[in-house]
Amino acid sequence: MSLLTIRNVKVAYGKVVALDGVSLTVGEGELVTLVGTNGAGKSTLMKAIMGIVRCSAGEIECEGRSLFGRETHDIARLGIAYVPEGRGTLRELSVRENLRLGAFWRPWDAEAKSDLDRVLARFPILAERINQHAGTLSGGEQQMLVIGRALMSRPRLMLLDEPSLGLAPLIGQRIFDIVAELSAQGVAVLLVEQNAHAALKLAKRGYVLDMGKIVLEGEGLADSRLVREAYLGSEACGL
Amino acid sequence: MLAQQLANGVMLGSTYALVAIGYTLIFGVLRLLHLAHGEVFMVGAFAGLQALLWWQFGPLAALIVGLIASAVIGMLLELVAFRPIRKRGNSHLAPIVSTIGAGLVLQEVMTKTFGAEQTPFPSALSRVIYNLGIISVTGSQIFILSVAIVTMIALHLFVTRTRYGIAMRATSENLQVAAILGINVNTVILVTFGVASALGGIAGVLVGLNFNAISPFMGVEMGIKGMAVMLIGGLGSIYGAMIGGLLLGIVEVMSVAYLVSSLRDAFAFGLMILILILRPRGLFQTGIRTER
Amino acid sequence: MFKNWKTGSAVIGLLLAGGVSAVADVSIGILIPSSGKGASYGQQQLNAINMFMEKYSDIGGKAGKLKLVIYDTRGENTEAINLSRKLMDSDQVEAIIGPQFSAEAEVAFPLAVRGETTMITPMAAKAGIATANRPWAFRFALTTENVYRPLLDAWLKKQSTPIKKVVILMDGKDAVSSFDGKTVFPALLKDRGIEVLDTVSFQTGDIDYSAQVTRAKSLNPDGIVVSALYNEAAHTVSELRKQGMNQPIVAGVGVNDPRFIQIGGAATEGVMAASDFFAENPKPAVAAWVKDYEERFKQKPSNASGQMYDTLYLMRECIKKTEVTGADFKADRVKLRDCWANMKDLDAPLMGPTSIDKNGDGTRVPTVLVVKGPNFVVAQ
Repeated sequence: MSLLTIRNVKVAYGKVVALDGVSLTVGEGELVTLVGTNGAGKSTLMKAIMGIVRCSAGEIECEGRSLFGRETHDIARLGIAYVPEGRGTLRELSVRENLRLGAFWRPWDAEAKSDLDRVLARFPILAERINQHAGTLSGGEQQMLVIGRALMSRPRLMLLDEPSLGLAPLIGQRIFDIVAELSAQGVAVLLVEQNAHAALKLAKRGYVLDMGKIVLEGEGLADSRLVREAYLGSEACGL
Repeated sequence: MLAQQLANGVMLGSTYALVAIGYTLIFGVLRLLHLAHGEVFMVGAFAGLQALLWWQFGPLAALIVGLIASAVIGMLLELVAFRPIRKRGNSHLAPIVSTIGAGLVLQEVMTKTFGAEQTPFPSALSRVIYNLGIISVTGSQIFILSVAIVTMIALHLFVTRTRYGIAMRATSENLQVAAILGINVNTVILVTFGVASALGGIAGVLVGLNFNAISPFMGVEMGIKGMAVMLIGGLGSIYGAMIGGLLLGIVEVMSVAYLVSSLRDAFAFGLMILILILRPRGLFQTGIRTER
Repeated sequence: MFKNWKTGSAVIGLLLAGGVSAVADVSIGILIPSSGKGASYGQQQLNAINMFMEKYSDIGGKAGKLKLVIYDTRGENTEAINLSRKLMDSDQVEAIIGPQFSAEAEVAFPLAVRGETTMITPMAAKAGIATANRPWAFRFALTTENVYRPLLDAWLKKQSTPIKKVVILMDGKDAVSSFDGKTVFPALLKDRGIEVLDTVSFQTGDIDYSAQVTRAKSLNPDGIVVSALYNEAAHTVSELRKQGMNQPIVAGVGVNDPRFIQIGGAATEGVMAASDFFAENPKPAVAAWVKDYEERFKQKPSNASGQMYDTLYLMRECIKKTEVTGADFKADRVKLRDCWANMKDLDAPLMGPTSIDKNGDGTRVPTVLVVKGPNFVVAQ
């Protein structure tokens, strides 16, 4: 059984249809990529999963439990960690406080503290800046912070929305390496990326979203001729 | 005289600060003005008065009764005047109207119960005067100042050391991010109202103890001053509200002491305008902008 | 609008008088606000008029009965003007008692001068209104100046250590308190050789008085003058005592209210003030009158009723003394004017011996009061 099942989800902002019958699954510990042009509806799908936008039809389930009608914080407590586009750093809070809030709904016990040690070991730069305001961190550091914060909740599934956006290519690559690492450790990941080439190469399975519909899905999409022409080609042209 | 006037300003300013912190906490999580907060402050003063009159409690117990009464009223206001509107989509105008209405209801209830005139507040504290070199303070003033300082330290520890305190600041910075971290935003908002209103209640009892009179309309002016302090300190900044409150208290007292009392409010709001011209986002700038 | 006092008894009086000899009644016009914004004053004054007429409608001597022609001005200036004319021209009264408010008196008094009729206001308080309309206009009430003169004398006399320097604390927003604090008190203090170190103001409705009091304290005065309404005065006095200023305090007319003591509590102990009419006055004549009033009307008499009663009484005294008969109203008007203008220590039943000064204003010794425990008492 897959961890996350999305069936025929429809979302509309007023008269504008953002998602028009999207279906998608993410298996236990699987890394799945969702690519598509700007405005294809990738972020909307993430928000629909988190209960931030309301679906007008369809079904979203996590381990067989429907997510519909649940509040965002309840969905988070099911073990779904969402890293929104633009990262969602709490800039006024210190690095430590950001990480502390990652484990908000867990007791702050020895286990949580050892998780903190593990996150800091994984991202040594965060340990150095532990008492700084998160707003003073660089873009790459902030991305590490929010991933670290997401890990503090011991997630079953991570939703990553454009983690490499606005980062230098080298740092972006570092983020992708971390994502791969997480996946290898058994955390399921749904990765949304505009950097389609890198993302599709990273994941075994992927989806292509266009105008609110899944137009392509399957394994080895990075090598698909259609994807190459429609999306990766434009990427190569520098768009 | 300057030192004594500074002390007077600090006394007045510490109550402004407590009220302004309440505004700023609520503005932080909701981005909305709570226009009945002045009345919550007033309710605290009357509750404290009852504690002193009916049950013959000491000032410390009166303070606790005042803060509990205000916290309850404040949380009730969130449930009645804010939450239903929030559930129906984000209107910025509706909560203004609903809180003004709630404030008027509180004023009317208090007027019917206690009369529209100022009610004398028993001087529960010693009138013993301590001469500390160039300034002299009464026992009651020492009590008031200690309460204000202890309250502010407690608040500082709450927002930096406790789970709900940090969650409150997170909610204040970004409601959606707080929610995706598993924070129940509605609970945090309710807690925020409780804390903010409790501070207002403490301020109400302190004003009663310090100036020996309270009235159902005392919240109106305090409400305006509290909002001014919030703007001076920087929207959403707790420490800005503390400093801004003291600053406003000192400026008011100085303008009365060295100029004319009729210009007091002109100076107070002149200070606010000046600070906003020089630093449009207040003394302690935060991520919150007024324009959204 | 027209209220002739007890038409029935007036008619009977006329018949009886007619049986004895052909003397006319002495008619006095009365202008009160028995409806409109000042209706409560007017009603209290009507109460006093009723009590008075029951006892004193017979004048005795050559005169017949006292006849009152009462009109309601509704507290409005135009009515005060029209009704003053009516009383002088159509009703041909011997004198007019009224109008009651300063604004009304200001516009009606010039008519009294033109119509050569004595007009006396029992309660209008604004300084200078009678002075501007000599020789026909008068005021029974004490101006604040006339209240404060004996008050200050009593206050200064009471102190064991003489007072040389004072600070005045006043409400800058309230018209009377501010005028008294800026003009009346300083002039009277200067006459008594006392230096006013500073005049510090606060505003009606303030809650914090610490800055003003600290400023006063820094000047180290021998005594303090508070010119404010009862609420603000109570807070000022509290703050003075709180900051350890134990100098003697004298207060303006605004504190003549039991709530001054209620709000200020123990801090008001010893504060001195003065009042024209003091309902708790133990003087037998006053106490009996107050008791009678309370029994009839189920309320405490106010200043307004006391002033009306005494003004009527003095008017009747003048009628008797100058042998006004109501036969020749023009001659009567002059006689009554001269009686009022030269009034010297004529004993009014409630407020005591009353004189009229060169300004046309009433002078007498007000009741000097001092706070003792929870009450004002007459200062010894």
